Amino acid sequence: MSNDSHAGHADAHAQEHADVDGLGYGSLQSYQVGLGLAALLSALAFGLVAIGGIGSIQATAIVLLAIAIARVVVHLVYFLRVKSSAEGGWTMVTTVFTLMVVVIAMVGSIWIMLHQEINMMPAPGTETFRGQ
Amino acid sequence: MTTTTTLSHAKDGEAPVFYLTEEHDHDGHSTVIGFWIFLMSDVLLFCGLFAIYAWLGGHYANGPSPLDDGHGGQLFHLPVVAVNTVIMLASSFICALAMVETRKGNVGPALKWFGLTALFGVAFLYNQVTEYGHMAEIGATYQTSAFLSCFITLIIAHSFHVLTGIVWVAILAVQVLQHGLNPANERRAVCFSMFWNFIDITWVCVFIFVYLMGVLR
Repeated sequence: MSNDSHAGHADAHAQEHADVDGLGYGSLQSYQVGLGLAALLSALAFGLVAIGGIGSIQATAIVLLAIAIARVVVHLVYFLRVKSSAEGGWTMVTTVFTLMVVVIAMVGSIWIMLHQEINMMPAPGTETFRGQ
Repeated sequence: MTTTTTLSHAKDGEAPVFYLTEEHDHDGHSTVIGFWIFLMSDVLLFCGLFAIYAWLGGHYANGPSPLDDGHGGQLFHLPVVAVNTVIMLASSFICALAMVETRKGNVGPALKWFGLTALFGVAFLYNQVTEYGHMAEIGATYQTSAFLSCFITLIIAHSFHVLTGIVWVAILAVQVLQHGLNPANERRAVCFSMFWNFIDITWVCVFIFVYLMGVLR
């Protein structure tokens, strides 16, 4: 009986440890994959600008945005090991909430300030948001 | 002996105890998630700085712009930015190697990798200081234009995080040398690795959104 409870305690401890492992800890292999993918994405971003971009500035900017998001996700997954099971799901919840706030703040700010810029009378000789 | 207590279970001659006489070490279970939430609040700080840059990044006020520093050169030197990107990514990986050794309990190799992480951080800061020293020399300071104000604020916020990381890993190394890789130091090492990875993630956003997109404008 006491043996059972001990085993149960050991299981709980192992579970707790596995949860801690979710953040900050990873295997050497996951770090190597992360390093490779991150290096590839960074080289892609610099290469894209070095060749002068693709087509329009907008198209290049969208590709760069996609690379940035991919690079951040690679870092979160392979280096920081953010997953839904870590810390009983709280890591995932706080991360998703933060990203939601970031998207609202960024999109909202850019949207509002862009409209404000358009409605402003441009000062002579200065460049505005759209580079006009 | 008489006691003034009215508690029924307090025996004569024993002072009633209303508090824990000895604080037990906290188990550190909540430290990692707490530090993660701090990092998320730091994300919001940088979100604000990036949002301001997205708005004011094109307001050159006839001053220096990314492609023209007013002296026949470019303000943004992409080779330096590329070197710093490599330094940051390499230091992230080295920090990860340090964590692998920390988990195994190997003090020597862990300290070696942590030391190398700090060294890469110093190299990064050296490049940053040289770059912005050069900008200041040609008169591109934070007072020159709205673009430079928000650009330099963003860069200094990031560089300050790198500096904090270097100081942190130095203190961590002293503690590991004194007490070994006990659970408390292991916990601190985990938090440091999270912090250092966060710095790298921020730098990714800086080099793509500020430098690469700035050169496109």
